[in-house]
Amino acid sequence: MIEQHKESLMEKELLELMHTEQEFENLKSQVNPHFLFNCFNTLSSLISEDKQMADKFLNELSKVYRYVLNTNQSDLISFRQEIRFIGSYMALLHTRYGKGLHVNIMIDEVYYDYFIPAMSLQLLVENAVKHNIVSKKEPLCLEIYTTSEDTLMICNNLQLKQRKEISTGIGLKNIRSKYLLLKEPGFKWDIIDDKFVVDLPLLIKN
Amino acid sequence: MKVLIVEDEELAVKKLLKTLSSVDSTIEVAGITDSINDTVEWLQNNTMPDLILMDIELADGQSFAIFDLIKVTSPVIFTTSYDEYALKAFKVNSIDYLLKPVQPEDLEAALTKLKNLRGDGTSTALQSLVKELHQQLAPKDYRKRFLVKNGQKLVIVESQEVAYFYSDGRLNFFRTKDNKNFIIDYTMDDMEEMLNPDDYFRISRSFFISISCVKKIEDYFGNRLILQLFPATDKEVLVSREKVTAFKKWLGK
Repeated sequence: MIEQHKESLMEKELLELMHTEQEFENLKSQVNPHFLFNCFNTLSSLISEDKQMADKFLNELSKVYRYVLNTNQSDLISFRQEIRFIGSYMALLHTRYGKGLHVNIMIDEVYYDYFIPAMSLQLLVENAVKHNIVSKKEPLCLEIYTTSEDTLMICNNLQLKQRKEISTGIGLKNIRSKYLLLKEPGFKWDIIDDKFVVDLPLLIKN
Repeated sequence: MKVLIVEDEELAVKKLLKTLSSVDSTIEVAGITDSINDTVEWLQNNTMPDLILMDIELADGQSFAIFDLIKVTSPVIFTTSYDEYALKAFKVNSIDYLLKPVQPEDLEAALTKLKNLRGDGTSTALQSLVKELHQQLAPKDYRKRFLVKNGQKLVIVESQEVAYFYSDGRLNFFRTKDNKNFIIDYTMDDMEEMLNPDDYFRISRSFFISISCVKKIEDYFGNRLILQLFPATDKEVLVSREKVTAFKKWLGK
């Protein structure tokens, strides 16, 4: 009994710690000026090149920031919401990278009402773009699809940058810990045939 | 004037081309590359352009890597969307940088600057710039502790325990906050490299002090300052004339 109690106390502490860490990371990415400034550059080009595109780009940018600002407190989010957000995020990346980025999303709508840790899919996409070459000559191909085993697969060809940005690894670890604490197995990442593959379990909330 | 544009986002290239032609209609774009590899290949197969406009973050890494792979003799103007380090480095060196989105008047000023610079060793200036940027972008590791001899024993002293470093005759010493004296093998110049400039300052040829050991500051003849340190020193401690302004600025940081 006492042992069990101890264990659950420790778990609670760990959960709180993680929560703080994630909030901190979220906060950092919220105020991370790099992404925002890059978007401003793109916007500046679009305004003279293609006003309609500029308008669309700005809309997606506001959607992305609204989502980021609203979701940092809640732990689990419906898959529908996260995938909708990823749509906006992808639109921004597509405009910036053009043919350097290929994305293929195949989602079974059955899973729309399932849940995943908030921002987890975004984090995986951001990681892929951050660490790999994204160019017309060597496009980065991202595949996001659901399997019949209640899992979302995120997969990209591995072509690491010569001097990649310093990786804290905190993102992947954080997602893993979230699943551990929820006592949901199945989150993993692996390198298979020069591809980086992540399994993200889709959950039913009780 | 022949220009090579190194930029990995297509839209940014378009914008830059427009800005370039609006500023100087004689500019001829000799090539556009979007990665480290592409740029190295281009430079191997073409004559060096009169100017390279280079983005810092490229598709396959940071553009500084290009300078490690090939000797670049063209003058370079870096472009960056957000980079404090670059800003710092360019202030030290006289070559220009541009913040994106590039403003026509900034580009014009940079081009004028370049025309003035031309012919006086641009490539050496560029090399020192690249070196500087490399150093600034790498996270700097400062010395955390020193291993020193105390009689027959070896002792570890944490850097933060050191009040000041000084040289006396041909030997260099440091004194800890609890007033122990040790001989060190490093020169004053080495020390300056090893310690965080936020915490330590070289006040003269023979003194390198931590901020916490300054007890009293007074004016001294010859536009110098005389310091009283804690622990006390055997000799008088002077801030040399040319260091006074920087010293005051450092104290107020």
